[in-house]
Amino acid sequence: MSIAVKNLSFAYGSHKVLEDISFTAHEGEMVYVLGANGAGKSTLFRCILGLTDSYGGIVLLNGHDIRKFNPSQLAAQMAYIPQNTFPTFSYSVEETILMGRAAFIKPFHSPGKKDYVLVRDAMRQLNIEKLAQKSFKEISGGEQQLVIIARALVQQTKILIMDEPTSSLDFGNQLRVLRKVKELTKKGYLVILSSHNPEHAFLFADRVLALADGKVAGCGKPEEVLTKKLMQKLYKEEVDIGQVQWGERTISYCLPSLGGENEAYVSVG
Amino acid sequence: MTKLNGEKRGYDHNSWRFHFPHTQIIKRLSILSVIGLILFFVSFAIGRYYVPVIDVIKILFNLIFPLEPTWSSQAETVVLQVRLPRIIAAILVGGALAAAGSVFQGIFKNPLVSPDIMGASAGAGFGAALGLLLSFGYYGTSTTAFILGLVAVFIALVVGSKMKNNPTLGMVLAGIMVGSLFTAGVSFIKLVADPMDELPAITYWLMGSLASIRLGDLLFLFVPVLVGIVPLFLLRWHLNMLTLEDDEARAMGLNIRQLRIIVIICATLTTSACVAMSGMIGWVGLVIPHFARKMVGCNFQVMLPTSIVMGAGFLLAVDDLARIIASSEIPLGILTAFVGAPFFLHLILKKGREII
Repeated sequence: MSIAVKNLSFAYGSHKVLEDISFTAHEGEMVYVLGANGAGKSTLFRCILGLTDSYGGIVLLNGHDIRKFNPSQLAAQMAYIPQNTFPTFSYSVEETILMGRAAFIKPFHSPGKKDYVLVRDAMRQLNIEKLAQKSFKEISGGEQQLVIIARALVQQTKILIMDEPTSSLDFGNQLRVLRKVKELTKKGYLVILSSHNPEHAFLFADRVLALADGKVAGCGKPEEVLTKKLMQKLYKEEVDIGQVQWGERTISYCLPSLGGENEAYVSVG
Repeated sequence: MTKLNGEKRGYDHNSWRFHFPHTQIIKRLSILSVIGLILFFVSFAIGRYYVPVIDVIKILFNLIFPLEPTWSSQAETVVLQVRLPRIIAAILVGGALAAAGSVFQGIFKNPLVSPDIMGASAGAGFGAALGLLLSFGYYGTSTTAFILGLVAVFIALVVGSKMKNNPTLGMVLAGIMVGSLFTAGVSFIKLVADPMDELPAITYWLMGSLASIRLGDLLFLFVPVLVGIVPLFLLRWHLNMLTLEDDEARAMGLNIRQLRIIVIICATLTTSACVAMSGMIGWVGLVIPHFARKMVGCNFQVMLPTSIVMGAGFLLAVDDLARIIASSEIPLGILTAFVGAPFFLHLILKKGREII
């Protein structure tokens, strides 16, 4: 199972959003897409998901051009987890997750036993069974994000595409959601997610794809890719990259400068 | 883990079905159906000429299994010729408008939307006014109204879909424009209409009434309403997907644009047919879906049928009122608002937080 993007380019009129993007991702990987606002992360996801086909280059799903798949075939292969959703109507958590089965429930049919079983399994997997009857609007942001992930899981795909899954969550919820996502990749899922938090990439990413001005600025292991120089290129900010020992693991982190003098902090590592 | 007593809102680990307590929904729906059924028979009985409910049941039963008549032939005429068509029309129109309102609210992800959002009522109203002005006769007027209702929505649909990045907003904007165009058309027709004869006819028609419906006319209402409602009913679970963002729904493998257009066509068929037959009856399509959601939740699978039943019951009750409240009939368009709006206001005051 893999996603391969080859020489992908995308433009709105004369404005080039993506230029010559290439990378490959395999099962069991958590790929972080980093980049400033407007770097083209969402557009990249739209292309990968087949939501637009006015791009140059090719996106291969298990070696096959995704343009050859129809929407329901694609939905059986990969699932999309949007940034954050603000539903107008208050569906219960269970009803919300059930919507992930849409592609598999024929028109004029209603969800059956199999669909409900999948919903229950997905809730178990993410430990949100207790929320089943709660209104989606009344649960916390972190729980909502887990519900939307569960909705993707019932599509029974092994590829999850997440657009800034933690952008509206508090510090603790961010980590709890990401740990769950990491668990999924250990079970063989391929997760591609975008983020504005390089620290999370250090903590969770197997691979980082850094986008700057629509081009690949770096791709590889987070420790190798996320250098001071690259951070400067991505975010136009001076940072210092340090390391701490956490049990067996050495974990990198980055600290921004206070500005003005461009003075970095004392490095611990 | 100890088993929960009564197992109310929780779910059963061994059961695959553990969504919103079925028993509760079933209880509420049975109460609703019983009220509806009583209302149905009572509607035949009441009016200027009172027919005992027992006679009503006998007269209706007599249609299927002939009975020895114990009722007057006058009662039979009133029940079958006068009241039956009205009652059926009220049920059809109420149910259809509530269904159309429910799905339009889903499509536009907005609980303040009513079936006329895309101009169907305005188009049909213009058609009817035109028909009355040019003396097309009853059937000619209804047909013109029906066709212009469809035309109005078709224009809004085509123009709206040109707004590629947000077709929903496009359709709302186009619908409002088309609607105001036809409303202006109605005003113009009123201006040039003969104030002694045509103008009152147009005005009265626009206020909505089921008084003039005869048994033979019902087919013109029945067919388009059924053609519209049956697909909506069969698609009811998928209607939930309309409330998602386009990208979300498409990534789930659904052809959301196709679904939306099918639903708009169905809802427009029913709305236009209702307006063509009974004039402008506002309010039902806007507020009945609220009550239905309040009662059984947002899931269209249950909410749509509930909404249809409630809409039918509500219009039937209001039409009964229209018949008995004053010596001359009060138009339905006025009465639906007089009855419904205060009730809704009361509801907002009482439990404002939970309305949607």
